[in-house]
Amino acid sequence: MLVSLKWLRDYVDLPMEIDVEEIARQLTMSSAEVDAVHRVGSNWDRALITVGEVLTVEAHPDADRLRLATVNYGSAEPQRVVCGAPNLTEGQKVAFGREGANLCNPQNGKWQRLKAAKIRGIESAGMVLSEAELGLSQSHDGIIELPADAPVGAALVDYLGDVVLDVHIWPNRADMMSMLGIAREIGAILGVGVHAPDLEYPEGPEISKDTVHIEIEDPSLCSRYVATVVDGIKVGPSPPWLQERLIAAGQRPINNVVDITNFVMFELGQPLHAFDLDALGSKVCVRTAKTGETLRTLDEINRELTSETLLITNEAGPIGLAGVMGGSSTEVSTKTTSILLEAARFDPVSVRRTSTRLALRSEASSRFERGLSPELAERAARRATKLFVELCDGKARSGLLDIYPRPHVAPVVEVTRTRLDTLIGFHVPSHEVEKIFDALGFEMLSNQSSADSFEAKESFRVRAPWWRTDIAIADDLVEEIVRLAGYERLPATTIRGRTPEWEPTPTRSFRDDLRDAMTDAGWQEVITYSLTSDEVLARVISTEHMLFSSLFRVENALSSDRKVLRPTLRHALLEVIDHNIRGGAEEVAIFETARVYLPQDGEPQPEERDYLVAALAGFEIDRWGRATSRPLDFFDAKGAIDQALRVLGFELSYEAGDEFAMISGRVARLSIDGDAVGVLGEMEPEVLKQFGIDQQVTLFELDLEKALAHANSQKVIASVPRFPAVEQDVAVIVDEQVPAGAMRTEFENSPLVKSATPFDVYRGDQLPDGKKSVAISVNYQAPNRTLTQEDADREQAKILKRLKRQFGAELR
Amino acid sequence: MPTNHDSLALDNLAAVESDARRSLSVAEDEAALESWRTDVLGRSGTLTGILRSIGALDADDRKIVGRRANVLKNELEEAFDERRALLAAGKITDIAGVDVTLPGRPHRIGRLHPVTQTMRAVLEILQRLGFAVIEGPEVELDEYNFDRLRIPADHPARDMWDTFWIAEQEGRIAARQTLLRTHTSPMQIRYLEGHEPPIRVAVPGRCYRYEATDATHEWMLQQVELLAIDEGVSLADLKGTLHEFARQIFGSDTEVMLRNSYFPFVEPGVELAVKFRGQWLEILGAGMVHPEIISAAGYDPEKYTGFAAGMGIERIAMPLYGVDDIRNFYQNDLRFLSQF
Repeated sequence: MLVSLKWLRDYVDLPMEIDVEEIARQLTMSSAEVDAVHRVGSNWDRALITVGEVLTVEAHPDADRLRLATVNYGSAEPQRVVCGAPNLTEGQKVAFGREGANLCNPQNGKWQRLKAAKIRGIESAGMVLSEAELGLSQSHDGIIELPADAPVGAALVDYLGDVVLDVHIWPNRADMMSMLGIAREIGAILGVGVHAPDLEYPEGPEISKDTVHIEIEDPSLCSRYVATVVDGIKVGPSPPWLQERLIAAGQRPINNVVDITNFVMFELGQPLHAFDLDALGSKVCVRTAKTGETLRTLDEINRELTSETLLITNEAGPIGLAGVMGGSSTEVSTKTTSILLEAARFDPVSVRRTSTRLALRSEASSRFERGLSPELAERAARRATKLFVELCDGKARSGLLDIYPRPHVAPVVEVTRTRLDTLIGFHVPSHEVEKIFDALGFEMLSNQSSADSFEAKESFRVRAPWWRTDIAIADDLVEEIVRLAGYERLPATTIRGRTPEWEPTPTRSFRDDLRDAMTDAGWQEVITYSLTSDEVLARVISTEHMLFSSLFRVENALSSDRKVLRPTLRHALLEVIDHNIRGGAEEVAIFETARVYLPQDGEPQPEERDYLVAALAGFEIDRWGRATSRPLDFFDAKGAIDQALRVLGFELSYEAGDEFAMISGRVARLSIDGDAVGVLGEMEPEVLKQFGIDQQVTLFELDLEKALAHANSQKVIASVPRFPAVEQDVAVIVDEQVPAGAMRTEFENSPLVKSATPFDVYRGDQLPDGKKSVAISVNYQAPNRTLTQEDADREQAKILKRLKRQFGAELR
Repeated sequence: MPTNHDSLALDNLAAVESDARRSLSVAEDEAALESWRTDVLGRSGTLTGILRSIGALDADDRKIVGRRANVLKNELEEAFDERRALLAAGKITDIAGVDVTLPGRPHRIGRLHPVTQTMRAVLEILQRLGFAVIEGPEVELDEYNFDRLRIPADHPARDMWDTFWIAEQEGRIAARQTLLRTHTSPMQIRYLEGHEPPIRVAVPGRCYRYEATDATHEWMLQQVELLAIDEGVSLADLKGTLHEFARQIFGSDTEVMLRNSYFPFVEPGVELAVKFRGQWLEILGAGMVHPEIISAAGYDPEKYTGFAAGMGIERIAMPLYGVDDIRNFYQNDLRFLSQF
């Protein structure tokens, strides 16, 4: 809410010289956040932009639309300028800018120095200014008209300048959506006086139920409806001071009747509506819409109504959306002479639903939906009626039409001293508590102990002021006390009592260990978005996959590429690779551990499962850090993954397999102790092309939960072997399709073999077609004796025999 | 006066000296030493050659050059003896020198994402302060994200959390039943369902806001929620705990400031700002757990009180690392990530 300090001074006794920043700070500390402090007129040149008086207005000899104004701006000689504004009249007080003044160009919004110019042959070295030219608003239809008592020659900033606070009001504080509400808070914080505006006006003949009959069908949707009737209204522009107030609040002036309703809304917080009484007729009914009813609203749009829509109706049908917008049939026009002013308390939920459904959120709806006090309606009706009398020549009928079936009872709430002290951890003395309640308008009903001064059993019983609709329980009072006493007075203490029992979180720890192991092995962690698109997903998982259609999709996506909750992380890593290759990266080794979202039968929430995905792309880096021409491949990835996982005590088994979007023959299914845990493979070039990647990419995926099941929380440490090992290399010739891993396993199954590592694969001239030679380095060792060369030879012969039987392997 | 001829002879002498000293410094065995002696001091050695040619100079030059050459001869003989002694004592190995200014062999470096690093730092501190770390679902029910946190449908407080809704699916997801959690606060309710006071937990995780991105707003963010419930937990405890947290993450002289705020699930509600490098930063919203939330969980709100707080990790990482655009975090540009 925009709060003009000038306007605020009408209600709160602020000293003339104040530190605005300090007030903004205190308001923010104790009450509502001040988002910004705007200084209106701070860029107006004191000497060049002044209050002027239009002495004469003549026609421009060469232009119909332009006129010549002689303006007295306080110097000895008045100045003649050309002016195009339609509302220029003799004797008017105006804002006058002279040559050199810095003004806002309404065409482009830029601030520029005013230059003297010949306009249609007439020299003009000044300008009568509009709001737009002063940067006050977008309005450039005419010049600003200042009140008649504006002092000619005064710097405009002194006369019209202002400080406007942009205050963010919490959703529970309906009472603060008003100048008076802000004034009350400032008054309580600074300890200065606050004055509500005068509500007295001369009343004419008694208003009667025969004039207008008002009926509320469902009081739960409208707990109070107050109306006044004013005759003899003259509709016209509002006086400048009123327009100025509305502009400061960010509202465009329209005519005096509408402006008064808006003014009172900003002043007191109660949205009001004025109906043309002649168009209205003699019956008003507040009810929900019937099937098939429609309403043409003030903005000339025909609105479809639902059975939920709360309406103001007359005998002919709907005439307004309650609390949201009036209808055009009863709109106040220049011909209007009598009005019915409505000040009602509509149900917040109803107003919010209707305004949201019709996209008609407004100043009015934002006040109703916070839940206004019904007590406010009567005060606002009287205040607006007073202004109709004073500013529109209106004659008010005496009394009010007031339908108020269940009058508001201000809540009485009690807070004990124990509760107060316990909750804030600090003792605010009783006299201060009482002072705070008083400053905020709470009525102290009893303080049980002030008599016997036994504070421990003390209890404060207060009645909330009628405007506070947010006070219900003792803790609400605690907040009132602590926010005014000042949070800076609270000590900084620690929680006493015992620390809750520690619960291990194995998944978390495992994820952290994995991240550390991956980064240690040279993989960079990334964090990517959880949402993607069907199109991107279809590149990496089969659309025929049963889960594809049942994936969790967002109803209101911000963009079409962030619509689906991902069931995989693969696409995201490929997107990161593409981004970085484009950025010139020569080697990309990245990983992410994050959740995927898997639909579960009949469940409104998915299974959220942790995965690790890593991707490797780019080229081998040479001894000098330059990229070579050798692309990083499957084995680079496998080595780096193995390195990471071995740190965690995992031995992955690799077996040839297939996977969607990966190159057939370059995919390994990964398992631990026979349990499938993931996949490692090179991505299909066609798939990569869809991501914009024209390089080789190897991708690794691990199901964290499955891997965790095999994590050895307790490592079993073998002692260092006491007897030396025998190293022997052996090369065997086998069919091309025999995996090296299988032979390795065969070696390692021997009790004398500590490890067997393939170290060379040869294919070529010296071997028959379809055969390869695999060289294996074998480490023989026994736990209890020194092996001899002969022992190793004997064992090797045994193993080779088995290899021959199983794989047709021949010693090379 | 020395002639030009003489200065030429001195130049030659200097060249012989520097050659001789360099070659002696790389002589690494007895054979190399001997061959050095022959090359320099031997009968047809370089220095011997100069000594022999002195006679050809005129008298003045002969004096100067001769004296210098004889001094050098003595020095080189000394250096030779010294070198031989060092070799004999095994104090010189046979490893050639390297140019230590050449680049090292490159090794790939991996780092944790800055948000992970910050999250870890935050959680480590909270664990030291006695908070256990738990997690909860990101795809949450409206009931937990809003209703049971006292944020009913059609209440303007809902505007404080712009929400991604999960689209309806027949037989599984009703309209507006499921959403992407807007904060980690639903875990207050979920944790209270299965645990009784004393409670002290921290809940990290991704949250989502339906809002346009700019330099200070992202639609995906990481939060940490704090919940502490026990007998006698107070707003001053909240202040003290968060002050200690702020000191550990931002530095021991960090100041904190509480100010009024509003969240429907706390009362009183506060916002905490920390003073970091002279600037007040709002890093978290907090407050005393609303008594209705404690009683709804089946505990006596007169006996148990507690505080809750929620902080955005990116908002802490940004000032810590001097990152001025939040969008950098999830763009995953290695040129950005490799700086952390």
